[in-house]
Amino acid sequence: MKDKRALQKIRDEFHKFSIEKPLGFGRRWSVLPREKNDLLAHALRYLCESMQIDRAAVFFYDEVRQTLVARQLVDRADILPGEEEIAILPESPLARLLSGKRDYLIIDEPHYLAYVTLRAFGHIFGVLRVENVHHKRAFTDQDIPLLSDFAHELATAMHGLELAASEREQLAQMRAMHEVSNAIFRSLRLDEMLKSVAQSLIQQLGFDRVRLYLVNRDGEHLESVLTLDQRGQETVEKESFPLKRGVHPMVDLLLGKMSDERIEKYQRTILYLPLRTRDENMGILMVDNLLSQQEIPPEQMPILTAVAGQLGMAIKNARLFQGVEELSITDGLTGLYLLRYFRQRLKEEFYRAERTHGQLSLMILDIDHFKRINDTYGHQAGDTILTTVAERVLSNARKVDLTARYGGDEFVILLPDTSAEEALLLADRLHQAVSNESVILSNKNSVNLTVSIGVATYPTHAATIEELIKRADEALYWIKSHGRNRIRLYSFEIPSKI
Amino acid sequence: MASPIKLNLWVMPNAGFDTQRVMQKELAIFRKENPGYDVKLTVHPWHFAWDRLIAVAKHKDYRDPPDVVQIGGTWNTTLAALGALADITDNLDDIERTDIVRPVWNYCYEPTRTKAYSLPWFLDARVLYYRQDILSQLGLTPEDLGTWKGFREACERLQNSKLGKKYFALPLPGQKEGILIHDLAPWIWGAGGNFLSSDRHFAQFQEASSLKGIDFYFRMMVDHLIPLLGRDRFSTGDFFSGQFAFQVSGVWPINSFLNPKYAYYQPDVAKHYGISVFPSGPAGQVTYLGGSNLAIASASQHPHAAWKLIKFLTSVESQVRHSRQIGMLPSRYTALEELLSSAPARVAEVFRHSLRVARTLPCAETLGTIERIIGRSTQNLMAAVRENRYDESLMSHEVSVAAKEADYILSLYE
Repeated sequence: MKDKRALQKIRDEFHKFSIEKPLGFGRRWSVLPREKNDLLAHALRYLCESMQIDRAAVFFYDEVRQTLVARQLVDRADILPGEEEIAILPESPLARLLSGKRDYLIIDEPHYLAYVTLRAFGHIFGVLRVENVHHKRAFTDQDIPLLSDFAHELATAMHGLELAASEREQLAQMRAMHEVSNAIFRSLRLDEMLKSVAQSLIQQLGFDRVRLYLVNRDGEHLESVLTLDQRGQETVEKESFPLKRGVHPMVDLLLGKMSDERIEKYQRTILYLPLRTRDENMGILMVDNLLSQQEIPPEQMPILTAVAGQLGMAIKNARLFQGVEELSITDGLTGLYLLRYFRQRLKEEFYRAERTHGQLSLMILDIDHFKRINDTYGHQAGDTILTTVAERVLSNARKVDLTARYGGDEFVILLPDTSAEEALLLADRLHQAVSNESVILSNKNSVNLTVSIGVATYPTHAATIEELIKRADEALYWIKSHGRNRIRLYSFEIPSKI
Repeated sequence: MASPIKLNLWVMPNAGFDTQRVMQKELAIFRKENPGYDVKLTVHPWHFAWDRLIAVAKHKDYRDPPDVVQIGGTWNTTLAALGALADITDNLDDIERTDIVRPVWNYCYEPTRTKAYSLPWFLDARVLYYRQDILSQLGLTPEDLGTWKGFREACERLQNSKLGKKYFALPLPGQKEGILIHDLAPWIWGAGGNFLSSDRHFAQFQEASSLKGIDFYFRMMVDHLIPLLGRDRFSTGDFFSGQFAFQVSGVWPINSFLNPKYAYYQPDVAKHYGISVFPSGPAGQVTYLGGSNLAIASASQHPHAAWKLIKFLTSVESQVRHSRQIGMLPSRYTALEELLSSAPARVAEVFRHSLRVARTLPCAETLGTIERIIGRSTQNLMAAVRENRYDESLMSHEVSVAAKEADYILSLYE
């Protein structure tokens, strides 16, 4: 007959653990470590003490590897740091225990141990092992009822812990979903939005790395645009794949091919999520836990799928916004910035140079005899000349320089943080780039172009924005009155136009 | 008086169930020498330690994070890439760098070798143990074990003798299914093979020379020279428990298996054990060098104090004491020489020579995943051995599939 008082004591002991205790722990690990170990350690210590048992251990069953893995080992009051695994051979006594064909197993001298199944709500998830290694006292059938009750209470308590953890997990999922959605709609600027989403995915879902690939604007390539890792570091390595089947499994996936052996094999640690709108492939979101070797929990899949859906649409919107923004600040013919935007940027750069005691140069470039070309070959030819000059200037200017269309055949180039000497070198480069090759017009005529470039620098030549523009213009005027086709840095010897 | 700075130290069970006792002795000396510091010690089994370090790295609000952590040498690069470890490059000016056993520096830096994240604590340099009494009964000398061929012939002679009913030849390196990359390494390298290309962009363990080494090792299983669980007799024992004639190991267990006071002491083994350098393969003599490092967790609130503790634990005096207890070799030449000066001449000579021919595994961020791929592949090969399906073409196919998988993983990170 079972000892009811002993059983009640066991139950009381387990009730000391409030399974509602908030864990305050990282979401992916909320089920596994610490608290469950605390429960096990406390329970096994209690068992050793109350039943005068030398050593107790809980083993969880790994069905895939058919192995019992020690979760907690206690030697009377001490937690042992050892590792132990028991391979389960078919038809072995432990295999019968785990299949539910028997409830306990006593192994006599010289081992003095007993195994009891850990069963809760019909599911066996491991075994409790007790040993009398020090006392060398064998377990008997009389010990089993109390051990079974203990094992059942322990299994039930662990199940309760898992349920509580699962509830918290669901709450955490909702919070993560909310946070990532917020990140998607935080900005309409594409770069900012993508970075914000990547950061949020790493912070909320704990991925090792997030990568984003977007279909480029001509729709012909899938290009990497962002890689962010757990340390918050962005990697700059660029990848580009033609958007054709068979080039890369990621491209195939985006184009609708569902199965790829490599992608499938690693789908628990690397996920590729196509980003689509109803009628357009936008890119791929790739998340992975390859370094940490932690499986991506299935509970995260709904979040990731929803995020991918929202992100596809958000990218499309951001690109539309970017397009509208570009239309309002760029010249339709040359693609160069309009003067209004240029002035705004000039102001910003000028104030920065003032504040930091830096330098700032400005060039005005004029196409020599443009009116004559226009009159001779027509307006279409004039447009070709303007576009060609714009292309040549853009491809020879530095990334930090800002080029705008200044008027009919004049261009203005802002050179932040640039001295007069450096500006002259750049002016020379532009002068050669534009003048070296003739331009072929649509009627197969070719025109040899030359340009004149006036340069001025803050603070060497000017104290204000207007003065800076005026000085560059005066340098240009001087060239024009001295035969054109050259560059000239402003000098105070140049007489003022006015 | 200000309260002491409390440091959290996480280690693995380097001295088994005795780890707490062994480490507490060391820490008592540290506390005595550094009155302003206290240390809380936690011993994590290896398989929990990884998950916990990852949890600390990914959750900035982890309660009670560690300050100093023991890591497997091959974990350094990956944990650094995950932001789990603090950069200790500048701290290295504080130690005598040339005193650290040179090849294990590979386990301290990230692949570009600009930043260091951990400092070697102790080493695992693989040697071959053998039973002198068994060898002489077989009419062999230790010199006969000098090459793969000689070693295999010794195993065969044992198996075909009456002694073969009492002793197995060579145990599997672990109870787990599959062969770890550490255990496969000397066979692959000894045959002239490699795991990865030097730029870490491609797998090389599927190349002809690597396959030669893998085949040699698995042929030992096919021919029952390395018994397999479930096919040969069930055994979880090893050389030191007296059931095997040979064993490849990186431990010199002076305080455990070779100590008469130890619970599992086997007088026959202690009396008759011999030690030799890992046998030479067709491409020459090489062995595996691994070990454990100490690092400052990036979550540490006391990085300066943490470095103080690392400096103490890696000091010559502490390393000698600790190594005597756990049986691993110190990572500093001075400590190593002090330890080996009290060892039998043959033991000292073999370990010294082994360190000269030892190699380390490549420092790839994805090494852990590649280890798993190789582990799975060797598991399949072991199943094939058990089911009498193993042959060279099956092995070559299995390994080349694994190599393609590794290439895919490398293409994503390295």
